[in-house]
Amino acid sequence: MLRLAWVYLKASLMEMLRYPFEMVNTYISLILIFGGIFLGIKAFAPSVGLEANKAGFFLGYMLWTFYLFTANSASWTIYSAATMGYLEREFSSPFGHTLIVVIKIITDNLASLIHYILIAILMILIFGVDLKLDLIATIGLILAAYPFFLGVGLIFAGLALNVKRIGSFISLVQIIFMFLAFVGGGKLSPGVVSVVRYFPYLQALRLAKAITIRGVRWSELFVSNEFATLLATSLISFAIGWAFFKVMDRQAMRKGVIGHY
Amino acid sequence: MLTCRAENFKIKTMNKPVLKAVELKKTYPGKPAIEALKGVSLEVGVGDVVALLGPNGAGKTTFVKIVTGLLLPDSGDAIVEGYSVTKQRRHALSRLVTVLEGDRNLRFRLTGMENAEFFVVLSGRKFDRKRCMELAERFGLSDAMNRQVRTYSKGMKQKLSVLIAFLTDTPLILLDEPTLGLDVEASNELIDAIKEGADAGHAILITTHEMHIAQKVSTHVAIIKEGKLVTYQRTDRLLELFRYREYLIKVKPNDIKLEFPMLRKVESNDNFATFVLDTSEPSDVYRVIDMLKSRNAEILEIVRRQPDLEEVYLRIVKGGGMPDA
Repeated sequence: MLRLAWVYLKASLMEMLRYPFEMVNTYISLILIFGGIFLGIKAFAPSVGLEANKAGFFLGYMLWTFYLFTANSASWTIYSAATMGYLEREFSSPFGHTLIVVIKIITDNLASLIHYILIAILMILIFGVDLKLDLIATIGLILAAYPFFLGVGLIFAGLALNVKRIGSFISLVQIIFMFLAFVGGGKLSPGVVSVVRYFPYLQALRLAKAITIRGVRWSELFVSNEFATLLATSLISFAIGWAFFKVMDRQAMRKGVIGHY
Repeated sequence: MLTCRAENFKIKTMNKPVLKAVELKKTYPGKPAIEALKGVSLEVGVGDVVALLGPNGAGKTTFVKIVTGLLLPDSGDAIVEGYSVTKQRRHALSRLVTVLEGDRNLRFRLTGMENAEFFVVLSGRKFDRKRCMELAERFGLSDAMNRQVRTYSKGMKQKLSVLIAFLTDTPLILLDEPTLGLDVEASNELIDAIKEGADAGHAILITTHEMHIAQKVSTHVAIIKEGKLVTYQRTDRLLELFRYREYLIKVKPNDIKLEFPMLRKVESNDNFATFVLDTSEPSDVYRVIDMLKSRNAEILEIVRRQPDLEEVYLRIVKGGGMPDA
């Protein structure tokens, strides 16, 4: 399986480098979106006090882009492989559809990580974000939240397998996630807050702010109840995504639509 | 070795078959539901090249998709080297490799070598670079292996796909329209490669609409029509079955009209008319000769025809069915 992950990672990196125009545009668009929102709020809503909470805002944005990379890659990986034709070839592998998709998402994400880190550095430099964070705590947080993103990715991949074009649905979910990233759930009504408080994305946001703003260290983070809850809900989300994909995959196999697009 | 019985298409095998499809049934849901396979059974043994033929929509692709684990049958199963595709998926799929029709087997921004490594590992096998280069040499691709596939011609892409299938070295190889759109030279090269693969012990199942290719490459022919297996024979046996049925009779004048059962005019030019007599009885030929003589017709030629696979296929698919064995 490691060999399989390696060839997928190699293929993702090679293809990324061989589409340089797309790569450069991803950089530019993500930086522009951040700049647009950041400067827009500063200009039109100074009362929000964004300057004082720049690090939190930045982390929210980075978490959102991380979600973008994961979820988009999941549906895109299905859709593009179907249109380019090799999805059926991949799915006739003995490794099984779900494992293949999980490996595809993870290796795509690993390949994107290079971009992700570069974009983060560029934004820190361009917008002067003063980020004081515990690197081990941050990596631990990302790893704990990652199964959640993977679960969401699997749900999108399962949908893409059956209904094919889910771009508008992904956009809708993107907007919801963007809203949550910037509002953080705190502005929602108490009833809604009680429902979404265990949503891993919001838990990850809260912990990200704790690391950057309150300066929580890894030694405190990893033993906290909040971190344990995030890990648990994140793994549950992954299990739900896995099960959902299995059901969708079986349905696609019954209908005979795996290679369709 | 396989022996086939025309009357019920049950195959007796001395060796354990590499692929055994048992009563595969599949109906696609919808309004109306499409009954794609109505209980198809066939076996492919070591060294066999089975050409799976049939008109569009006959159920060939459905059959291949079930065998490759892309589609769930409603009932029946496909067994690869003793492993069920539906129940022991991993074991079964690690014993087969598929080359799909067209440009669907490769990643265009990867080089030939990168594609080979990717798809061999994807099939659960170890990639052998040295063997890959040996095969590339055999396929005339050695200079192209480090180039991105998007720069390849159609024939080169197809050859690379088949190269990867042989490099994967699974007991069963499924080739969906392997020569579609290829020029004669490239087709012949592929045919040779497929024959070599079979000689090396692979069991090969090919779907194709190109009958001359099927005739050249196959050891067996399976014809599916409307979801049912119409015939499954050794290719030479199938041709033999039809051989004694047809007589080609060229006569003058060209406007002669003859009424005789199983006799049809197939051509008429300025000089003569050509009739085909569809019979296995030599006495019918003599009766037609007598009839022609009584009308003062000049018999230019009588030939016992050897129909090619295309004619046999059309005869089976468009009516006629199978002759008595």
